[in-house]
Amino acid sequence: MTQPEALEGRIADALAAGDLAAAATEGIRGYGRELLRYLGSLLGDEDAAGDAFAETCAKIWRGLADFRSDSSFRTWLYQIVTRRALNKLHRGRNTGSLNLLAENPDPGPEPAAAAERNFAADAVTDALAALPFPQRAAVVLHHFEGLSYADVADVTHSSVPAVRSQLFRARRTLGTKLQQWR
Amino acid sequence: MSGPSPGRQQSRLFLTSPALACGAEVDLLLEQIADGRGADLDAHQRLCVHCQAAITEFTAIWKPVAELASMPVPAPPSLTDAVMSHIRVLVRDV
Repeated sequence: MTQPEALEGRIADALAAGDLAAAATEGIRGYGRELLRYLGSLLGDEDAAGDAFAETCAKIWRGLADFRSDSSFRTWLYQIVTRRALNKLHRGRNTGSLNLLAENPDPGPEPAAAAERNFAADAVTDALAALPFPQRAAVVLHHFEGLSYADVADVTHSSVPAVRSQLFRARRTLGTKLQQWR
Repeated sequence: MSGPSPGRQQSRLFLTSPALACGAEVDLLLEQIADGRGADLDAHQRLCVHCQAAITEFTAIWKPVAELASMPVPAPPSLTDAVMSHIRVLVRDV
């Protein structure tokens, strides 16, 4: 059994036993970091991502009783997070940049190489932030968080061909921008 | 004379065209590389200079995206407190 399967299994066991607190704790502990990164990429702002994450955790807690196991718990979490991010963006569009690499406290033994990676990370995060929301969500969900096309379609209430099409356009845009940076 | 190198100009062309000179679809090549299958060349790609040049160029372009995606995600120290304060309100309301 893989690590994600084991996590999903523990969450399912907790839900079956009616232990919502244990299920929420497992879900937030197991998927919290990737959800936070996803929110950061969507919102482009670390504080907004932190706020949205905290609100999402509360929503997860509240919504657990309604969770239906026709999708994975992970997919369900991403659905909640995506809705939350969209709400935040509608309230006030934020186009700032979140440089995830710059938050890494250990640049490693080669500062020049680390600085180069930070420039590259800036270029990627800026290029991501400029993508339309559906393309940005698809790129982060698939390429950063490893969701399949089918799971991305579930999260975004879309179809696999539509997700593929969003990714086709996003890769060309990212490719063009990153090529200019190089 | 300064300006983009011929290779760079050619790859700009790749990214704005639906297909390479050999007929290979650019979107499918990008998908192959972005999904980490750039080394899995099919029979045509093993022999085609257009595909090989595009794959080399796209792989280099996509590298920073793949590196960023593989980085660990740091959590702000204040986040746990923020999450717990939301949860405490909910628990009080139950």
